[in-house]
Amino acid sequence: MKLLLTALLLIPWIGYSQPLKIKKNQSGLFSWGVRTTISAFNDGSAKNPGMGVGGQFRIQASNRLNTEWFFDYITSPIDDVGTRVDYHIGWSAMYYILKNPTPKVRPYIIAGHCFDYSQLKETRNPSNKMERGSSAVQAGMGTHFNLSERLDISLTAQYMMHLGKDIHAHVHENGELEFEKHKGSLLEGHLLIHVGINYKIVDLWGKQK
Amino acid sequence: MGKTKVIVLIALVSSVMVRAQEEPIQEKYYVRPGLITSTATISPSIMLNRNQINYYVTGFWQIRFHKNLTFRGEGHYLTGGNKDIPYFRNNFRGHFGVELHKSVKNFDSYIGFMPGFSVLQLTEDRSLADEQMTRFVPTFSANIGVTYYVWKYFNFFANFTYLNTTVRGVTQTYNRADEIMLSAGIGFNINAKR
Repeated sequence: MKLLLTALLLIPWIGYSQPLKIKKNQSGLFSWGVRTTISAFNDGSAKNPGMGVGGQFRIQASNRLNTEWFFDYITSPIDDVGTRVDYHIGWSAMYYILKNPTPKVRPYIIAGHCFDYSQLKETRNPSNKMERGSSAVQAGMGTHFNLSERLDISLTAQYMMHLGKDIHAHVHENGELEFEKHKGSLLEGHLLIHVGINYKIVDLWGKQK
Repeated sequence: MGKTKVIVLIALVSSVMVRAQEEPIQEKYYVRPGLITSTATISPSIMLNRNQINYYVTGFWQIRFHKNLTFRGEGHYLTGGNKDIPYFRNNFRGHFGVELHKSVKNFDSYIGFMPGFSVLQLTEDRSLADEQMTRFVPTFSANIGVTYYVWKYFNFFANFTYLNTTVRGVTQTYNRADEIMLSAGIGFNINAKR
């Protein structure tokens, strides 16, 4: 834990205020950041939005192709009677629409895969719960707002579809909470909106002099 | 009388001569890349969704990695409030993000966004099965503030922070717990880059 904290504190020092040295193109750029996630809705009768926190790092493959590796922890209410918690860990490919590698605003298309674990639990009766581990695919669009050569704020919207069994909650009129699990509900998922901060640390394939 | 005039004239001229030999005063600007700022203070906060005021011990650090940009990390530890039965029993908030700055000489203003989390307990936890459970709640904050750097080692600052929080898994209560926090005081700074 101490090592992790020390590493987190030292990351900004690695290249602060130094010009970003890149070899030929943006291939190999390694960046790191944090993000806030809004889950706009969930399946089931209780479609309450949720909020999460997470982080990501990116390794760029070419001027127009980037990869993003992320983790998110999201909590959502199930009306007033329960909670849904989602853990996502996965990766995405990002394709930049514009040729220019250094515009102020850089839109992209994003698609990828993730592993997820979801848990639905009734608040008053935690033994009434349902959980599921599965994988998912996600796709959407976003844009970087490049505040400097190294730092961008990214806004992304993507729909995540869970590929395994679908679990969701139903809140009946009498307040009873019921969880359901269905096989192979391909389109079950949620709309995720991310606001992320990302800092380019180093060009991994470039010569560091 | 004539002697007096001569003495006064010499005195005036000599003061001008001495003034002319002084080195020109150079203004020192401390706001530049490499500047590290940190402090701890007591911060009151107003809860926007309920009629309460909380008091936090707040600490932050800030590293300027670009002429207009800094990384900022914040920690807020709840020490009390103005209610006998406060909403939060315990609360620690941690945030990390970036600030966009506009500086004029040693006067600096900024606005920022920070994803974060809150580890908290509620006083009146309505979830019967999980009495006083500790909860990890994703949050985010946005802040705006000003700093005046008076010396290479310290500054005066004032900062408003909006903290967005919704507690999950608590029944029959309205669980939005947003706060507006005011922090002000003396901050400490050094520049890691000459």
